[in-house]
Amino acid sequence: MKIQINGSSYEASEGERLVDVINRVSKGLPQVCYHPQLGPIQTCDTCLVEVNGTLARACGTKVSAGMDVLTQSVTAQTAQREAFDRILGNHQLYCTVCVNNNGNCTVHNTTKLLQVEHQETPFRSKPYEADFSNPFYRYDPDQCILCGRCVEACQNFQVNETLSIRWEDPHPRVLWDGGKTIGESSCVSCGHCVTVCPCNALMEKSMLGEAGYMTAVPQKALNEMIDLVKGIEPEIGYGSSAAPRRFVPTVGLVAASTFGLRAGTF
Amino acid sequence: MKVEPLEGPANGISTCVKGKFGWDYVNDKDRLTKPLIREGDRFREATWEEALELVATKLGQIKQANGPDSIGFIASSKCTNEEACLMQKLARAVVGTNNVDNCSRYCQSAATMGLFRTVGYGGDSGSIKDIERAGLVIIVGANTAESHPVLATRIKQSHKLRGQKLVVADLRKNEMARRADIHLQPRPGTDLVWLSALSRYLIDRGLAKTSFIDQWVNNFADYRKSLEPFTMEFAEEVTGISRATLEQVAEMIAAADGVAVCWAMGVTQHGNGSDTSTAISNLLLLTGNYMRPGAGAYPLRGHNNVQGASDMGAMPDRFPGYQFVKDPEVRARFEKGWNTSLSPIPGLDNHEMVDAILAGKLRAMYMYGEEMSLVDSNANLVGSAFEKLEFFVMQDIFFTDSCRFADVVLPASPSLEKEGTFTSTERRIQRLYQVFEPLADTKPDWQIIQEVANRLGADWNYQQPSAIMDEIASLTPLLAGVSYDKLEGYNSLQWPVQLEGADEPLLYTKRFNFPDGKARFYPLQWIEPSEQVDEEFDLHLNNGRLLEHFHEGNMTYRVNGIRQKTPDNWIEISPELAAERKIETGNWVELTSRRGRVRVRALVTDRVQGHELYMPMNSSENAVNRLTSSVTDRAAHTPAYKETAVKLKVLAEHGEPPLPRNNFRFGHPTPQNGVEVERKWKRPDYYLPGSRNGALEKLRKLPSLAASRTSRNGEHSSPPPLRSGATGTRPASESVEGTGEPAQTNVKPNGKNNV
Repeated sequence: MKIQINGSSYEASEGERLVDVINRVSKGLPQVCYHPQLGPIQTCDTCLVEVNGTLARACGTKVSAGMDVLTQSVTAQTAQREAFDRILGNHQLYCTVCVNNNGNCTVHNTTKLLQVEHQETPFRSKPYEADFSNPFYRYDPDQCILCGRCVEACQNFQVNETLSIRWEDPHPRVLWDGGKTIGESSCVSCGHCVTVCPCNALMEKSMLGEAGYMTAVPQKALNEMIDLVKGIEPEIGYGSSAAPRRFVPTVGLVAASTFGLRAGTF
Repeated sequence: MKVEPLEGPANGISTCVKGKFGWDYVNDKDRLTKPLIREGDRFREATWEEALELVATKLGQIKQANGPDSIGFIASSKCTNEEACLMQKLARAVVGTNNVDNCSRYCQSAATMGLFRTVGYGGDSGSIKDIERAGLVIIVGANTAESHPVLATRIKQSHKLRGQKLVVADLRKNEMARRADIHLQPRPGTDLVWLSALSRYLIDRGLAKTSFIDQWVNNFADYRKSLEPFTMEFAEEVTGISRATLEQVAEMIAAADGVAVCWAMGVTQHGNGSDTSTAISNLLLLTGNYMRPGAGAYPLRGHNNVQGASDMGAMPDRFPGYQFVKDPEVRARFEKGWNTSLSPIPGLDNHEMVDAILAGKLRAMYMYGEEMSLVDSNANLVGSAFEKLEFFVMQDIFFTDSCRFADVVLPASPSLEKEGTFTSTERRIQRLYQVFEPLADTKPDWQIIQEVANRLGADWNYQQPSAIMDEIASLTPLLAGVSYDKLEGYNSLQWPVQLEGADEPLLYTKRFNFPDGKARFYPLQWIEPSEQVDEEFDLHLNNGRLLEHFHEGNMTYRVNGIRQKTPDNWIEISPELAAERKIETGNWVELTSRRGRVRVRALVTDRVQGHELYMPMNSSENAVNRLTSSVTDRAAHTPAYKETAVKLKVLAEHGEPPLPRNNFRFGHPTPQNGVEVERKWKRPDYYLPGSRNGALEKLRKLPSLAASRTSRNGEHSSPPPLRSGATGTRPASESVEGTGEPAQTNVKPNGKNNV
């Protein structure tokens, strides 16, 4: 069948997901929760596009003949930005000094893709401690964007059925066995959830303090730097974090001098 | 380092705890880093030069004095194809004996025999995808969620999300059994009976696929006759499974759109392991469940390369690609390729090697990457044999139990430190890539084997494992088209591989692997298991794997996180037996068989029932093989590990529970339909982004959007439609202003359960 995407005509197959067709023929459609092996999860809303003049999630939409799709109309882009803005309300951006700043973070990459300069939804900390009780990985609710990839992976891919999100809670978070610590839950440590986490909410303990440009900085200094950047990054814009390779050395030097570290440590 | 699976053609994003997290044994302080040479009761460190020279001298002397058949070689199913190939080449072409085997003898040879007898290839008849697609999966004698955890996810997915039916036949109520539509708990070792009874029932009811049989299967008349004793009454009596349940399973098989049977050690580790495997294949032929996707025979290979070690000819009677050493034409090809003469006499398998040592015929052994002194059955006997060896070379990454018997220990490098290929259960050949440099003075096994060979007079010059694979391909029709170029990156091939590179994810699409292209029914008879419980040894001891540990645990007990959660093994005791014998979790008990004795802590659990005991085999301290016997499968010589009768004595000591409370087995999962995003959409504070004016003014006015506005065709410049309020109803059900059409078809997902 043929469908129209941004005015051009493309081949698509019966039953194909619209997001897969868009990804095949173009680059740049934001998508945070979508993972081809997990299928559509539909929590993040960042892949909203106009389908025949109506907003629809590209991941949750199957193609149909003659479908007219706009991925970059003002309507679509506005929706995508609003969706991502909400995600930022769950994930405080301090990419510049984040220990997971290594190009492998979907939140970071989407910030860059959408050229986010301003955040409308203020970051709201979740009232839970990070959980370090599993020997292999840790969960940090304050980095968790509630995309649900981990839950989908656990419930419907590994099918160990340990993880869930209680959406009705005032501050939803990922739960193990409905609210146990990870270490006391039915988690078999298969690692699916950590593998598919699009940011640093679920991280291998072996990578904590090892995965970013700021890896070699002592924890105390790093915490101070993170606090500093948390303070200024939302003000000066996130453009900086969108180009870490360029920007980091500068901040590194600033931070180094601020905290009395030897330049070149990083 | 982290392991982040994504593109592997078999795994995708899937791992189990061992693959994702259980690799830090590679940096363990106990890694062997220097060759060791025995001096009396001690070992001393030595240089590679000295150790290799000693190996070559001693093996040379023993060969000179006693002939090449006085030496045996064991290849590892944990190491690469190329390494297994070099080990059998060392045995055959350099030393001159066919005494070479690998540990698939302990687990898989019986399954392979069942397939050789009936369909012709010794491997899974399809791919993991076919198991995933089958209408009905039958698991026989396997704890798939723990023993094959990644493959199990595909079955669990299909069962949960895609309506696949699942029947599990296992003594224990393991996870798959809990999930199954039907759980059969036959008496130990009786699977052949109920499988054959199903076949007879299907024929009697006219449910056999006669058109398929007429066209594709020989020997139906003999097979049908052989089924005469296997009435439902007989099956009920022998197996203890009710007739009604068996008939229900038969009807499910007849009705299913594709039946895939997966089986493992619960089938193969019996005196009738080959026969039961054959019975499975017979049943699949009878019901037309070969030659089509979503069906077939799936012996679940256990170790990373148990398939490959056999494919590579680390077997006493076959060259690489399952070519017989007895076949003059085949031998001539290898003699030409290897430029030497080769013995036509099949050698000893690993069990026969133990007997030959005890008989004084086998005097030296060279083994790498295997812990035979613990994982072979009747371990005490194996140990006493190893003590008798005149010269024993061990090659491993740790000083293992088997190393205790060695004269020379050579320090090898694990998978993360070398290149090569592995072949998975679906006959899929995949590259592995070096991540770390070999630790300290260790070397990859293929390099060590090559150095031993050259000191014994060979002139090998493999610079890279790829050169070994090129040689294998040139001599092995089954692997003719395999090359590292074709396996670059995440590319893979599922054998047989034609010269031009075509492979076969699904076997038997055009013919079966026999000269006339037809499969064969193989008639069977029922023989009782070897060791029945009696008055003295009154309990049946089953054994098998745990999810967290690999084999005897030499690697996984060195992973801190795994050891914290699962520090030791245990014996599983049913609540009934616990009440009867007054046993509590944590009690030390002594198990005694006719061969040996172990002490282990009890774990009372309803995973086992009645007088059935279950002991994880993942332990070097309380190894279950101190108890198992030397009885083997009649055709393939796989030890009958599962046929062990024991007596149990409750000891006075009471220890900590063997399994910490924070082990996952004590958790309480919360099954649901994925993320259940509809519940998010029902939140009062949720509305579809872009569906409201006002709050978005700032976002809309951003310069990057303005730019895109002017550069595009078909622009919708009107503001996004207003929603009628933040009622929290899912946006999909709303009629959208201007179109007059419900957006439901666009937003509502289909294909996955309610996600």
